Amino acid sequence: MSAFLMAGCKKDFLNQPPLDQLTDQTYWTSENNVRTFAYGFYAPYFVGYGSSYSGGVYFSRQTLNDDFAPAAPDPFPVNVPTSGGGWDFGMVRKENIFIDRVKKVPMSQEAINHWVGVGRFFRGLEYAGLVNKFGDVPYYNHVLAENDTADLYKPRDPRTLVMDSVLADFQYAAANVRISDNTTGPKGLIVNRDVVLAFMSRVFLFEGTWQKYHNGKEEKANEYLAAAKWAANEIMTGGSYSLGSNFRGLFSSEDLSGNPEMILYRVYESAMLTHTIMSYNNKSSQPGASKNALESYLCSDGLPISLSPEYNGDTVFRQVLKNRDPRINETFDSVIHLQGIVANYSTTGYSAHLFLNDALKDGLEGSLDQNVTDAPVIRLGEVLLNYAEATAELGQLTQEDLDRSINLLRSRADVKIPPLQIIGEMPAVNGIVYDDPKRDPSVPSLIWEIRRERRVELIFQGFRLDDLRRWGKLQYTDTEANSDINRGAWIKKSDYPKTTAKIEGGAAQGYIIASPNAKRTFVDPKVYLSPIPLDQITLYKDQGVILNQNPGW
Amino acid sequence: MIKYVNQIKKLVMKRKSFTLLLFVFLLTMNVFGQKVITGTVTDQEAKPIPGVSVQVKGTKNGTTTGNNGQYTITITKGKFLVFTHVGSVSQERVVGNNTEIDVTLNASTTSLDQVVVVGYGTQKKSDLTGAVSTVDVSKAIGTRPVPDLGRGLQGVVPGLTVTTQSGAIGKAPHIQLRGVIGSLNSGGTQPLILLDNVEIQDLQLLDPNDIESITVLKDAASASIYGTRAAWGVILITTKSGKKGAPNRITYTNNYAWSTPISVPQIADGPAGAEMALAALRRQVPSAQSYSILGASYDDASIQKMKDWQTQYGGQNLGDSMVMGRDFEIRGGLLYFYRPWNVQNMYLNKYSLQQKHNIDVSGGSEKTSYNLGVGYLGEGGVLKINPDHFNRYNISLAVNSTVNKWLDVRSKIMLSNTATTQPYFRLNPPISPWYNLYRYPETYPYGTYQGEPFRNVITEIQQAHMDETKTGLSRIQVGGTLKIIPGLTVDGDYTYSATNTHFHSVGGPTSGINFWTNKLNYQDNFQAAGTDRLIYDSYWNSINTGKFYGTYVKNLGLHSLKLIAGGDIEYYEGYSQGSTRQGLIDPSQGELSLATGDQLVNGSHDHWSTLGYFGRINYSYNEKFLLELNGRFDGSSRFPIKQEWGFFPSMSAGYIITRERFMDFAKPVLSFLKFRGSYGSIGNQDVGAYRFLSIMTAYNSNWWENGVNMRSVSSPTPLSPSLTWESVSTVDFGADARIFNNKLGVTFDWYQRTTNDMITGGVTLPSTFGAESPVRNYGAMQTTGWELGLNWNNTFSNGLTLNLSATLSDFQEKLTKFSNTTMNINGNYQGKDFGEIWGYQTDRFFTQNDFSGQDAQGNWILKPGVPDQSKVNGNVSWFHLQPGDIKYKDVNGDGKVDFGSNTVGDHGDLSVIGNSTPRYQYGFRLGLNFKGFDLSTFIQGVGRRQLWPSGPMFIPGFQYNEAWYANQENYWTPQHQDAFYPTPTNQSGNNNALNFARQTKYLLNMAYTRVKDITIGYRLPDKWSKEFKIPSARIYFSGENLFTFDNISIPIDPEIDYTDEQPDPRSFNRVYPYQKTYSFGLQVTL
Repeated sequence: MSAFLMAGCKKDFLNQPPLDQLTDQTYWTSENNVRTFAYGFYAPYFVGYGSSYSGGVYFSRQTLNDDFAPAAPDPFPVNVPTSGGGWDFGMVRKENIFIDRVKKVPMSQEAINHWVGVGRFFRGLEYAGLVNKFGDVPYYNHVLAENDTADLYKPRDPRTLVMDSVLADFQYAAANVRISDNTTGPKGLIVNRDVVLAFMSRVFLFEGTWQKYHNGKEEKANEYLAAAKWAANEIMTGGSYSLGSNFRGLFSSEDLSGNPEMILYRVYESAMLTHTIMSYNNKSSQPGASKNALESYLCSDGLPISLSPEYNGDTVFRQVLKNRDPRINETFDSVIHLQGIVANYSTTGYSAHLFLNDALKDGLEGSLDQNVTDAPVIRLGEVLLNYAEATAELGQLTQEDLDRSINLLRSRADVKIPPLQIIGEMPAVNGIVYDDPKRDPSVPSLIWEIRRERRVELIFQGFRLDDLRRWGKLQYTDTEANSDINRGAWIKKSDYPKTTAKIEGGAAQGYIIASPNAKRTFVDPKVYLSPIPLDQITLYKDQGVILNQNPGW
Repeated sequence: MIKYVNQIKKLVMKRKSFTLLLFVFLLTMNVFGQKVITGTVTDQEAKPIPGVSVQVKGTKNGTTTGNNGQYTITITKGKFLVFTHVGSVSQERVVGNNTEIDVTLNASTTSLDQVVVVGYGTQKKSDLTGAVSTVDVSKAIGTRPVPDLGRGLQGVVPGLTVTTQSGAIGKAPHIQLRGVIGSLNSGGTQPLILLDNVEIQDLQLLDPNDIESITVLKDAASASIYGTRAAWGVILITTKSGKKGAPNRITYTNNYAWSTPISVPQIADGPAGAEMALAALRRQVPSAQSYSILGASYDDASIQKMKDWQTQYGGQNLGDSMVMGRDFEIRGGLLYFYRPWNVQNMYLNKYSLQQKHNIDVSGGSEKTSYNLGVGYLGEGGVLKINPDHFNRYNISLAVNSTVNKWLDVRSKIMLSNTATTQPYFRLNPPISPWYNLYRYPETYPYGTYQGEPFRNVITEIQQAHMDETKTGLSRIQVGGTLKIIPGLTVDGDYTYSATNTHFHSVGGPTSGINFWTNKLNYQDNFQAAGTDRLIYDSYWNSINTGKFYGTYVKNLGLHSLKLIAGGDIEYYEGYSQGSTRQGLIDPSQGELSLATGDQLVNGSHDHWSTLGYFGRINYSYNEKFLLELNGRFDGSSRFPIKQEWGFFPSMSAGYIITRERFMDFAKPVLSFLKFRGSYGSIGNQDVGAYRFLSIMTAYNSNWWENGVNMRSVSSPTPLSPSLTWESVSTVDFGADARIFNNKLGVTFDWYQRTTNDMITGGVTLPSTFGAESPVRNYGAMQTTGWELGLNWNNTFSNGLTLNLSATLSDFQEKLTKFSNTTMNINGNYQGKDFGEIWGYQTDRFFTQNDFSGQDAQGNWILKPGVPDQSKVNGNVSWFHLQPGDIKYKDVNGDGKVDFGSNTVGDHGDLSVIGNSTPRYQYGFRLGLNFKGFDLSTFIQGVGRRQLWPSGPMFIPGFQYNEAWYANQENYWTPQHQDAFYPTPTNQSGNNNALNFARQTKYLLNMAYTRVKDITIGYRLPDKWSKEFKIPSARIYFSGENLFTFDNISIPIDPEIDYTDEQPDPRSFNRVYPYQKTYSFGLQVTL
């Protein structure tokens, strides 16, 4: 009883703060805590192969492009969502909180600058993603309070204004993020200056070409392309990375820690963090690569199939993959996979094995969501391509630039095709100028070849849709206008009587049609940008503010 | 035996001292025609009752029984003796030639003199002014084979909603009082359940046999004395504690029960299932040849093969061994299966056994009483191949003692241990073994090939180790009463209660033919690496509770006054710790020290405290006007600093009109009538932990470095500075009446409960804010309902006793204030009735007459004037309307069927077509007693409830390649147009599109009436009892859930709902089945 009275009188008996949770007031006390918070940014931005059955854009997680010919092509969205739709500023808030709190943490100025740089790098990535999706977006460099009405209902800021801020964030990060940070984690698994630079080249190649091909703003385009080129060049001259000897190994290794090409990769752990990408290349059926994608690979003499004497045509399956850029063999199985004959068929017969680890494929870790291969997040190969393309789009491309970018990729130990040459602004191999007759006439020959290199090197890695968008080339994804992207391997029904794959026109021989019924048409250019969800427009309207919808939606 | 002892005592007494005196008395009496009558008054359990008033009818002459229940009285022959006692049914006996009259008084639950346990004290039932229900424990639970109290309370208390969701064993049901939601923040209107005045968290741990009485405090005025945690009412459970002066007694009861599943889903027969699946797929992909589900493929040829199989082998006993070519084939790299299996028969026991044993020892001396209870419950699960089990062991001991004139002390100790075992399953909810059991077609391979089983749920369960959950509760209560001056007592009680739960699970390999790879691929282990692990999880918590209060009673003429003032204090602390280790050395010894792989730990630690001061005044004038005032000054650590305290007053008043002279005319019919009303408010602390702090929660970032999953913390939650308490106030009007000489009792209550300052998203903020809108005290909701209780007791002249009781209640819950500017009907909005189901009116099936023909692709063309319903169908590109599809009604006549903008102001053709809140819940009990035989039956039901669930059991073609069910074969074809279901279509997991947009036709009518219990018993006649020296013995038979009446259009149990473990819509009805139970048992008192 006396205990009761005593406890009752004790003033703070009703003050029982959380025991296993932290509060904003008490958390920001050490660099170690800052580092712990920062890990919250990694998985959302460095998705790799995702986790379990979802996440990321690798392989069939992005089939809306011209590489894939699925049984039913993903259509472009037609409806404006009522809510959600990616119009989300949760990460912006998180990054602004981080940047704000880091400044008050008792640690050295160098550490503060580094972590502010890390925060600004992630905020830059976030805004680059929002701009990529929506174009103009409201820009915030501080944490919003519930009653900051003017900010909350701020109209969309022009895209270039936002991207200028993103550029400032990246520049700050590039100047302040540590070159290496061994206390934080091993190289390749931690944000350092190279990671910042690599993403900077990706982000500003996108924005530079977007400005060029959508808005025609030469000056802005050049500014951003120059930033992309600068960032890529910093990595290329830094000498920390080099190309490995195994292209397929980039995507199918159990351990990427020793791979000299990795700027950042994601580690998977058996039974702890696993993915599904390899299973998609293993025993299950898969959406196949299109005839169009297969034909973009050069022949081993460095010439496009339409010009090369080495090309054997595609009426004999085994011949299609012969005498080609060896990356075709690293990406695709040499055997046809037909529906009705094998369970792990491909809709086009061309079956990817890029992500397949032969040693793991029959074990428990070869199927379902149990895959354990590490995922490349950003690597030197892409940086080289970013460099070549930015330089070419700036009109500054020289043979030397090619030799230290694309030609390095071509000279990879397991690729070895002749280097790309530039002779009088035109592409050439072995000293002979050529011009792919299948080239999109609106794309200059040299750019065409650089884009080809990018497609081949970055196939199935989730780049293609963004590339087509920034080039203004979504028409390539129209299955009607570009019928080759719905075609697969050429087969004779009599060779495979049991197959249920459909041959074009129901003929006895011809190309497999992956999607006999469903089509994808590209009609309305509105799909270059995503729609703003309706509820947000209404909320703004209730406050007397107009939140502009994207054109066409 | 007791009576025998008493007789000896009587004899001894007579002899020793009173013989002479008695002799004189007798002499005198005979002179006046009077005689001395002696006897013993006992209760139904043959325990003597002290303090019974024994009066000569029509006189003031009377006495009371002593501690041993004995009395002596002088009376004239032919006169009547009236035996009355609080809480018992009065009896009259005529005085004949006998000089000894022994009486057994039956306890009365209906008597107005009954004393009811209320918050911090007791009260006469007639004096109650709040909404308080009592439960007759012996009738409600009695010898029913219910494993826990919750199930026993279903339908017994008007206003109490008890739902079970599934037939799973070892799971406590949900108990909700007056509504189901209460506040958007709490886990529903779960009342505070107090066992001997201190919370018990899991009723599953309590042996129903230990219960003495149950009171339910329903309105704020009666519950508010318990403070912040009593916002949703209180259930007061008092355990047995023995009676002072009662003889020592041993009671043994047992029960053996056999349960058998009811309403088990029936998977469609092989060919029919595959035909429906193929038809559904071809509607989407006309060229489709075959479909697969995890290694098993189906096509037209295999349907024919299945039919051939049935013709050739159907009905034969072929054993489990499967034969290639006969039972399955490999074609085109795919496996096709033909042989049907009855998976339920392989998985489920036809009967599972449950047994219960209880021993109760109680008694007391003049100063001390005790009660010792020991109980065991063993519940066998329904699984056949690797049986699950639930066990409970209980020990309780209560001792009360009067130490001296000014002090009473009391102590209770309770120990309870439960253990649930069930086979390990590799997937997490919502995917359970039940989910997978009903997931695959009838021909999915459940047999063996070359001696090895195929990979399936049966194989997995068969080879699984047992998961074990053990829970232990220990409680110690000590307390005392100080009797300071007459009328003033001070009580203090301290309780320590600790609950420990330990979970142990061992994964390990499963061997079999892993045909999921489309090959007959035998593997020693086909499980994912993650299952090669063991887990030890522990949860432990303790609650320290202190209560301290004084009571003062004063009667002054017609005024009587009772004052209570005191305080209570609670401190809760809870922990959890989980350890997982990969890489079992030997799966049969799943221990942390015997594993070699990664080790993972996690844990939590939590606490809260409450402190409250309360006071209550009860005043009554002439037992006619009754008034009660309560006040509670309440503090909770759940609330922000400087706002921990709140004051919550309440009051109630009653008027017994039958005490008025002017009502005397009604006396022959209306014995008693009281009107009462109450109003009060309580603060609600159940709003979630730490909503007043900017919390950062630690989590695994899923970014791995050096074999470590890097930890991170979440962004701090945004806060609104103005946040404060929620309050729950209730206004209640009621009446209690006794009619026909107290035989019929009626109780009625109407109430309205309002949750004010409800913590909700304050304002809808645009996404630019970057977080959920910080909560504010913005919302309000209201529950309005009424409750009716009836009971009727009569003993007929031939000795037949009959008692009937019935309960009926109803409520509706409405959101009265909520910030949702768009008024979207799919979310919460102001004015919303909770549970409402928006849907379309079903018109009929489309027929050929609705179409003008087919286009070049074969798609049907709607005739002009037929309303377009593509929005309802969901704008699915391959879905073109055809005959046999559902035609929705164009209710608003605008030429199209749609949902407008899904808002209250513009909802197109949608309207509210039903409500999932149970309405008109009722219970009905009939008890008969005649010459030792007793019969009782209990019927329970829900008058109205609708449900629009999800999942394949409800929606045919929910996942076209999974199992279809037998009842779904009744689908539309041109030849069978009066079917129940439309043409098979792949719903792609959507329960609100295509042919199954929410609509009237398929809305489930979940109303039901269920005969919960029928019990027949026989009590050994008194003369036998005496002969065998057994005071009381009874045998009985009982049946639970014997009959059910409902109108549900699909074969499911009406009580089924989403479970806590499987809340995912897809799992609907793929859960532990409900069971029917037959039992018998014995009750012996020695």
